[in-house]
Amino acid sequence: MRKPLLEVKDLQIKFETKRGTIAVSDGVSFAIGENETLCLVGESGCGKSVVAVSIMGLLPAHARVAGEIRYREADLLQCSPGEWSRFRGREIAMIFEQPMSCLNPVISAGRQIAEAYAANNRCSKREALAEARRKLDEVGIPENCFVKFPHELSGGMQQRVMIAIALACRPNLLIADEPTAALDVTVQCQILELLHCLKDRYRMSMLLITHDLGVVAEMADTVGVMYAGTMMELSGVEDFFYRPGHPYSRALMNVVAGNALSPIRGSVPHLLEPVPGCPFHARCVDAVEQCRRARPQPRIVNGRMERCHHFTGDNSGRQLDQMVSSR
Amino acid sequence: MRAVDGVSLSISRGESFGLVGESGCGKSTLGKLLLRMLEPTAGRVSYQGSDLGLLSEGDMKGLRPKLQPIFQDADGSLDPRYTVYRLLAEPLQIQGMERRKIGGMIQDLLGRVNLGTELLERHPHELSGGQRQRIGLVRALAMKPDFIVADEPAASLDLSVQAQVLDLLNSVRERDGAGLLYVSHNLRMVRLMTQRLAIMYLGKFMETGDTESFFTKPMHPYSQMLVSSLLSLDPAKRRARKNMITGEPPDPSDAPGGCRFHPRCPYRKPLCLHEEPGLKDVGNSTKVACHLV
Repeated sequence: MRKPLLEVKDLQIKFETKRGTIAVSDGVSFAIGENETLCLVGESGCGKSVVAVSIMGLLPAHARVAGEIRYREADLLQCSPGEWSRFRGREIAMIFEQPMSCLNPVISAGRQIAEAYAANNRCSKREALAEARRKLDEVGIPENCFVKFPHELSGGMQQRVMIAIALACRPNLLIADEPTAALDVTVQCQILELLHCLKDRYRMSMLLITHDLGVVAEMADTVGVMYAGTMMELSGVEDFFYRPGHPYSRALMNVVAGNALSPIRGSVPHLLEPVPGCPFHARCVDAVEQCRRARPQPRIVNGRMERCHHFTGDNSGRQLDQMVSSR
Repeated sequence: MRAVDGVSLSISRGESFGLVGESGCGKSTLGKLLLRMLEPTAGRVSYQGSDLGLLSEGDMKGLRPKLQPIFQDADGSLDPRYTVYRLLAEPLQIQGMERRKIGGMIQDLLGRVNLGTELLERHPHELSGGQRQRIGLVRALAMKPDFIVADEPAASLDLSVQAQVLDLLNSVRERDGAGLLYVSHNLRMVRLMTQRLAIMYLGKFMETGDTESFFTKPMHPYSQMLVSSLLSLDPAKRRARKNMITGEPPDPSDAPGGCRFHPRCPYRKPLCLHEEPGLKDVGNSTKVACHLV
């Protein structure tokens, strides 16, 4: 792998609730290299957004965090809030599914971008506004939208404004949490294409959170599959699609790529009642006695990590490529 | 503003018809019109030969259980003061089911969407979004409907649950012979769920026809744009769509003259700016509204 920009090691995030402790992230590890995109995939409640928020240092104060989040030479978890805020925006920026909940409704699109730029750069107001105009153009927003307020823009345009704000300070890492889930398919394509272009232009790295495997195929270099707070699989995008490894990954793939609807039986375990053994065993078609008793440890073979008792690194006979390419 | 503008369709028993388009194209409005949840300004909706618009409120009320909507967000259709048990018992009582059979039936219904009986005493606000959606779905299906309008029924659900829900809808259609209007912008699901479909743009059908031939050979430029927006699951094919996709979903209150799609159409001719094309039969049971086809 290229030199990692961000490295997350054995990240544990726990919350105390009235009904007990829940581990929303339980030993999550991954690394993102320069100019690389990692997609985190998983169903709701699997902990993918919490991991993203923890990298931004935006977890609520009562969260108990352990492990390591290393950005270049700095261990972010050891940083004081003041030190951390030097990374936010300038080094690491984030965009969300619902741009409307992040944009200020009473400030025009152009001024919001200028504000973000001015907050992190020493410049005059005039310079900031000029920079905002350049950014608007860069993300494909017509010039007349500079003075428009967020509610006057379409969902796609709002997301472009968010992207422009996130890029205002030229971050090295962009975290995008379901950036296109709320958009029409046509607009989704446009936004993904925009992210591709910007990533290449600025040699940015991206952490993209999605539940849509189509988005993964379109964007990812590396894919991380999360389930019930655990990273089940971490592999290169070709491996993930052409030789899906973990039974959970294969089941997800079957749902979208299969020619008939093939549901995954059962439902996600509740984080308050952690199951013994492999968290996926109750729904796994390959589960054996060992899976019900012992929690599988991450194993790495040929650059691919899996948490599965069956994983030996040999994926022959698990080929789904024909099924995938026929769609 | 014309949300739905001169569309015709028919759905038979056991058939699933897909309605596809970007947000604001009028697909949800059309779904509501079919169930007489909205009154059309002009035109007719008939169910088993009788004109729904001519039925009295009372007759319509008798028919309602047979015509069921399922929406993306079940919140609006579940009474917040009812428990899950009462929500599911009510439709069964309406059908005159004996009291002692109701408990077992409810258990059966919950099992079909993979929910357990521990939910029975909960109220809607104590359920997760996915659970609410599934309760809304089985409540609608408990009525044994003949015709279902499913408007993005699975959009708020996780992948694994999505498949369960759609599978259930399919089995109701196949086993009980219910007709289904499946409204969605998720083309992958539409392909799996429907036999015929219509592509809607600013209130009009741009193309109607057989689902499979639509995906293999989309005729209308807008259809081609939609199909090319379908993200491939093959990473080798990424970014292969050569900027086929232009513009954004238009504002329905400001529909352009001529062909409504012309501002976004890569092939437009002068004729398209002035004259609106009608739906033409192009063979293969496909109809297309385009001057160039």
